[in-house]
Amino acid sequence: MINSGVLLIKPYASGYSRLRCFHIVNHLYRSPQLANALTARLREQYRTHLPSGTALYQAVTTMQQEALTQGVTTLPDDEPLTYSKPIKCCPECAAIGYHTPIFDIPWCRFCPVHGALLRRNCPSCRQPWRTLSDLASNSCHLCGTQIPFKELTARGAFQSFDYHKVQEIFTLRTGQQVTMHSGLDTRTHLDTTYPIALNSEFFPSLLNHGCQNGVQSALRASGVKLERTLALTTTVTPYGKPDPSQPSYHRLEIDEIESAGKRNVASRIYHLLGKPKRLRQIRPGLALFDWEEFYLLNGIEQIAYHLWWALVDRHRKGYEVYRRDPTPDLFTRAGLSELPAIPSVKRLVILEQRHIDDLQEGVFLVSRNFAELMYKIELINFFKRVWCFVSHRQRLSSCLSIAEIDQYVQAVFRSDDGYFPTLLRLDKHTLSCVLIKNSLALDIQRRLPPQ
Amino acid sequence: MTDGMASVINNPHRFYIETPMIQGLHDKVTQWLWCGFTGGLVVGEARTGKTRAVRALQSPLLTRDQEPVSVHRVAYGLRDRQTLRDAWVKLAESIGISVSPRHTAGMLASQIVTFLAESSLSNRDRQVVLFVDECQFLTLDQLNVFAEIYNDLSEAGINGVIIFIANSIQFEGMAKKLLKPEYSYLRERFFANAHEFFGFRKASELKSVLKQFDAKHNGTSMLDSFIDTSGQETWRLSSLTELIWDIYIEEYQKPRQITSWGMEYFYRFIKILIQDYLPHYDFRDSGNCEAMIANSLEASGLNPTLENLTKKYR
Repeated sequence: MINSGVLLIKPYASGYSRLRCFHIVNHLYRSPQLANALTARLREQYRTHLPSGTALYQAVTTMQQEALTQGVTTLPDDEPLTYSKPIKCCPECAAIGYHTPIFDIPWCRFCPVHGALLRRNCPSCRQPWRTLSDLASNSCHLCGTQIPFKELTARGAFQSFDYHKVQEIFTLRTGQQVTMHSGLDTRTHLDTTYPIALNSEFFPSLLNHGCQNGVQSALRASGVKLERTLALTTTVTPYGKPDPSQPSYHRLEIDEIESAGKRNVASRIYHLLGKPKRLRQIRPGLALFDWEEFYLLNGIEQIAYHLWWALVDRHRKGYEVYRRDPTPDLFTRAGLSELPAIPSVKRLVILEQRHIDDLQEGVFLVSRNFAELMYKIELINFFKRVWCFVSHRQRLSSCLSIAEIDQYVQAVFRSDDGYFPTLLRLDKHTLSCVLIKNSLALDIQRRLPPQ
Repeated sequence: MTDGMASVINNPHRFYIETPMIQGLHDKVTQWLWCGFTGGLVVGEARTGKTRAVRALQSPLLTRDQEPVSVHRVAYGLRDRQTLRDAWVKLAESIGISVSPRHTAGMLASQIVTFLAESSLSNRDRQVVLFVDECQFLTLDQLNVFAEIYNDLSEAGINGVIIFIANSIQFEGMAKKLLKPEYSYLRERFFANAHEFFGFRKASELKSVLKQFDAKHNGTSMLDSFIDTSGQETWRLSSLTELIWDIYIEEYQKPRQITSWGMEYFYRFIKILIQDYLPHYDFRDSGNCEAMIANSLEASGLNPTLENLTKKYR
């Protein structure tokens, strides 16, 4: 009997995570046994050519179904397993066998659930997180596969979320009231017909931002400052491919700001920038979104914001930041009404295509709580449309209503179905969104429209 | 007689007939499931068909929402050395986990509990049933295995229902020990409910089973496979119920003070009757019928030869 590991799978888990769970629940089987069992079913070599998570788990589930009187449920579609590179992972997530593709987004540096720094090495055995090929033979208690079921349950792998919070998020997103029914359980999220994952398996990263009694309270109790749990990262990267091992790569993180103290922040940053070597090496990217324009930031967030713009201003010679304010005009012409509903929005800053071309990374996302984060996600979504508006101004000028604009934008982005953007990454040619769609997260890469 | 039916009735593992007792056990287990009990005990005398009834239960158990409940079964036996690991190993093997000497009890426990937890995904109530057959052969220490399974499943939010099946006479010693206060954690988890399983105790129960031989499916009954009822279409095997019951009561139940007519004996009785007597003699004659029934009952082993031998030598 081979267990499928379906019980341990969290939503939006990567294929890596699923395979690890699979190994955890079948730790009695030696790897060749498992490989043979799978190979026979998949007609593929398990170690050399891994199939997609879906195919793998369908095969396992079929094997399980044959043995059980009634079958287990199916699994959602997921990205193919293509992990041959080292991964980033949160140690606390690793302890429950969880990993999500979001960790691999270059600018994501903290686990949104636990607030822990994402690491490239396992803190227990000091080795890089195991790749799929050597997963089965790894017995480290943190990154390995031999975690007893009892320990997993004790670690809260089965802890459920606050359904009312999910309801709140859904209402915030759709403007509709949803009625909860008694059938909210692990299996529901596997039902692809369900409009949004209203169950205990909802994406934990997002939920915990709004979970008043969850991670935040635990962190408060342990004396950790809440700001650190938020996705507050000011990133300054050189042009070209970011490489943390290079000395020119420098990040200013909220940790550093905190350790420097508020009074010394300004002197610290200017001190850093004042060093000639670093001045030559640091070439900051562009801030795509100037959040202060949208939000009234407080405390540490304001400092982070000022640091950011201090860097940008200092290096303005290297590039041009387009900071005019076409917002009122755009709003008037487009007839858009979303933004005025957000009380603290002041104005928009629009970047042109050439700035986006220059952008390597650096989406600056500051949140105090989940609701705020959701607003900003909405804004990112909105920004996409505004950018599209700017890029296609000529053609859009013929549009008379917001419906027509929407229709045009949807056509450009080839996205005619509803989606729920959680994170956005822009690079030179590709707009990559992590979307929550029908309770599944899809990593969809969309080509920017030709100019 | 058709070959198909003959092969069925000649193989006791293939021959299955629904009895009121099986239905009663089904209702009782369903009641335990629906009421949220964590376990139960089914006891009965030897050869009454407990194991058979449990096997018959495996597919149709449903939750209140009519969702299927996965049912697993393990049967134990007496061993020279009774360790906790032995209990785990037997359980692992019964659910298809291959066990090697290097596997510790902890490793097996993890795998087994994961398996049961996954099985519970077949319903939203997260229920899974484990039948532990011949539990009288376990020691009280070995019962801790099931307490651990139950606890681990509970940690994961899964409702494990563990039902023990035992021979009533052999279980008596264990039952007395379980009544001691130090075993209350086992008693209250698994032995708070008990169901006594019997064979036939009433003529009506016998009749309901015999009726199934007469019931026609696609124009033919099971009985048609063995005897030619042409010209006697109104004749039914169930019409012999009173006669069979009277002979059983007079010749076996009263003299031997049998509590119930075990299914094992009934199976042999009916096999002999419809295969060896009814097709070859005139079953329309009541005198013949009485003789055939008496002979079939005797041949079914209700009167044990071993007992007669011991009396003879005494």
